[in-house]
Amino acid sequence: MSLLLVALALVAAPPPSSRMQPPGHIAVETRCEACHSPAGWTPVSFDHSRTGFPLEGRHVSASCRACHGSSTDFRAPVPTSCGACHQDVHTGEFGNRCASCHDPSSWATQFGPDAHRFTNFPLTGRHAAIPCEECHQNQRDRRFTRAAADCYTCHQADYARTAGTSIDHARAGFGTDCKSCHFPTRFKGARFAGHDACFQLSAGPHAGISCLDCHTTLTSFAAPGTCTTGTADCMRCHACAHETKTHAAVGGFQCSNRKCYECHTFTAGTGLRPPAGVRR
Amino acid sequence: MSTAARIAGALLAAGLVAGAGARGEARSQGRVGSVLYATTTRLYLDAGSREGLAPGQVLRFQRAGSCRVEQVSETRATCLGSGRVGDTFQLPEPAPPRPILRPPPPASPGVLEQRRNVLASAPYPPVDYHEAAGGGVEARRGSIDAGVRHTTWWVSGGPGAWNQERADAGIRGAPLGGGFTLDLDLSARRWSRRSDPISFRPDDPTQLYVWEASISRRSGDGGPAFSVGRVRPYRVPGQVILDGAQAGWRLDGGSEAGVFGGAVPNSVTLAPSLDHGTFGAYWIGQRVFEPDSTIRFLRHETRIAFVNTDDLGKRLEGEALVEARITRRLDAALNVRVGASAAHGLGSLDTIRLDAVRVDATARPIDSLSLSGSYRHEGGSVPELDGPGRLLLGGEARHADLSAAWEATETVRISILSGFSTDLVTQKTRRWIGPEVALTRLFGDRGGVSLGYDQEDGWAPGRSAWLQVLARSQGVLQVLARLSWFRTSQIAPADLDELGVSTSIQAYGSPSRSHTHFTFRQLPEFLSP
Repeated sequence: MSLLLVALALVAAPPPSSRMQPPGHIAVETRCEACHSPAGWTPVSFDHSRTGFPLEGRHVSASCRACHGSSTDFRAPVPTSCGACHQDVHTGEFGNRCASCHDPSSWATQFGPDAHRFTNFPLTGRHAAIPCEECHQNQRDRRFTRAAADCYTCHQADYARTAGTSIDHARAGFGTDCKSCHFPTRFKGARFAGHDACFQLSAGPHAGISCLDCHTTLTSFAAPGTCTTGTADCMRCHACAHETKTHAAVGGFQCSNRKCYECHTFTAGTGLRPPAGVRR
Repeated sequence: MSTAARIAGALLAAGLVAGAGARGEARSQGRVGSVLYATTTRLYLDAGSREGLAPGQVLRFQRAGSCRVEQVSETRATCLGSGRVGDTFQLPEPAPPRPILRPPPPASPGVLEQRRNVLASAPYPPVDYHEAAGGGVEARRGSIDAGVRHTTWWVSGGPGAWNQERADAGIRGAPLGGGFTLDLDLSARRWSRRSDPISFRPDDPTQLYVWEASISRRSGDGGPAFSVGRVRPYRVPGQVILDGAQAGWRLDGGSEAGVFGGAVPNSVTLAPSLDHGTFGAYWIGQRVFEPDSTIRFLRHETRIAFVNTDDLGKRLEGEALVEARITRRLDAALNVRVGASAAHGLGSLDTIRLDAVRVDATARPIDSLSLSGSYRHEGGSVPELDGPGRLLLGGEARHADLSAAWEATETVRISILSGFSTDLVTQKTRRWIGPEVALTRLFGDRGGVSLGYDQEDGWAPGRSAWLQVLARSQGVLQVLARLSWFRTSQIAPADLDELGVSTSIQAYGSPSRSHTHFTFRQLPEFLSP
């Protein structure tokens, strides 16, 4: 009986080549159930990830024809680059790889300080917390090619704004490499690394002090970092009465800026240290 | 064949049939279903609503794993999850049988004939179906996108936060009748808070940008094609938006040739202006090859135009874009733009310059490995307006990147990102390379986690690391949170260590085919120099 059933089953089973081919479909071996549900020919559900182009975000809800056109031959080549379907609003600047910046769910840009690390200008400090158009001002073409990476290219106006102030950069001879003194968070609170050669500010009791706490002016420099300004005023903080008293045992002591500087440079490299009793 | 062999074969066949019968019996009595066919994410089951399955049910396989029922017919169902062909699962208890409703006895032939005559003599309006020119359902419906967004930028130690509220709207190919469609792309923004110094439009806290507001007619079957209004010229490579028109002739298959012309709006405010303009011609060629050919798809676009804009002045520009799909493994594109200054009219062309050369390629040598790379040479023709009335000339620059992504499993993707960028004016270069590991389905369909690191060197060396969490409720809500750490050297008097947090919350609504999203984003940064 079993043998008979086996034989009947084999005879009754249709050969693979005789599978019905729906009209309009290409004549290839196709498993209908890969796309169609027994509930009906529509809606169609197809695992697109097997094609090498997984459907993500809004692509999930796109109709097949939106990309494949009116053809039912889904083997017909369709370019997978974004630019093949999406019109470029950036006038070609970024090519056809939209997903580097855009969220496939909402098209909202995902480009932020993290992504900007992969450019020639890492966004640090305040640069990471201002809108893009503060630097990339072209709204018409939505271009972002501001090639210049040096500070001064963008901060010329800020440099010029110091003219007439107590820290006139041009008159004081400061260069245009802003980052050598300023942090990217804000201009205030700058550090002058070359100052240590004259008087240590990077460490020690005067670390972090601002320029005009000591210097009466910054506009009469011959050149910054040459230790010849003659404008440092120690007495602003160190009162003569107090210092005279504490230096009673120091021969040749005079309460004058020049005399202070002869002993107290605080430069670690020279081995000099502030004598006991010297306070800021 | 020997007698023993015949007996053995008969016994084997009998055993198979008996076994099949037993399985069928067990299935009908023990309520067990099985997986007939499996794809990477979807399983096809041999049971349906008749066996008690319903969408949303979670089925646990007796071997291991589970899936969520997606669609159900009477005898079959699809299920989202991972499994193998042959996996079995316990079927739910069947619903109590419905009471049999016996239909009334059939009407007599005389009554049926009477009804047929009544229907045949009744008038009815004819219905004619016409396929819309140029495409199917998608083309007729178009798409609408609208979104509102609040963004806060803030950095510790900085002068203060920036807050912006904005509303964006986009309409793509909305039908107006007669084959005409409407395209709209605009954004309204309001700065509720800014802190000095402000570089971009400091006197305009409220801003409106209209990139596109055009009426078009472009048939997929060929024939005349045009757009009028504020036009973003259709597939004209590198062409700026214009207040004018684009007109061409479209061939069957998508190729098109034509001309365009109009006034060019202000580059910063997008305000209409008759002081600047452009005109030119374009060609779009597109060809689909046989599925098994080496080159399977080829598109080439060309533009030649006279352009007079507020940032570049008067120029004659030529541009070409070629894009090809080579086998099913490689997509490649090449874009070249050449410009010549025409400060005193077209008769005095000078300073011919290579504005841009861009090469993009994406390859998938095997299904689980994706390679992507690009090279760009920017010829410095893109100056930026820096504050009111000031113009910064862009310099020549080069950029290249290469990335590889390996989908190790269905849920793990490992990537390597690398690249360099050089400012040819200052000779400043940065390079970067680093890995990223993404657990794309750590939360199943509800999202995943990725973490990465990159090492950077050049004029501002550094390193960064990040952890990103993406959670979503399908079609309703998406939350993206990212924690980043940056270290940057030589960009300040001391090394900078920064911590950044970025969150983005998007809510979606999908009335009909339209799509609405709401976004909240904040970028607090903590700086500890």
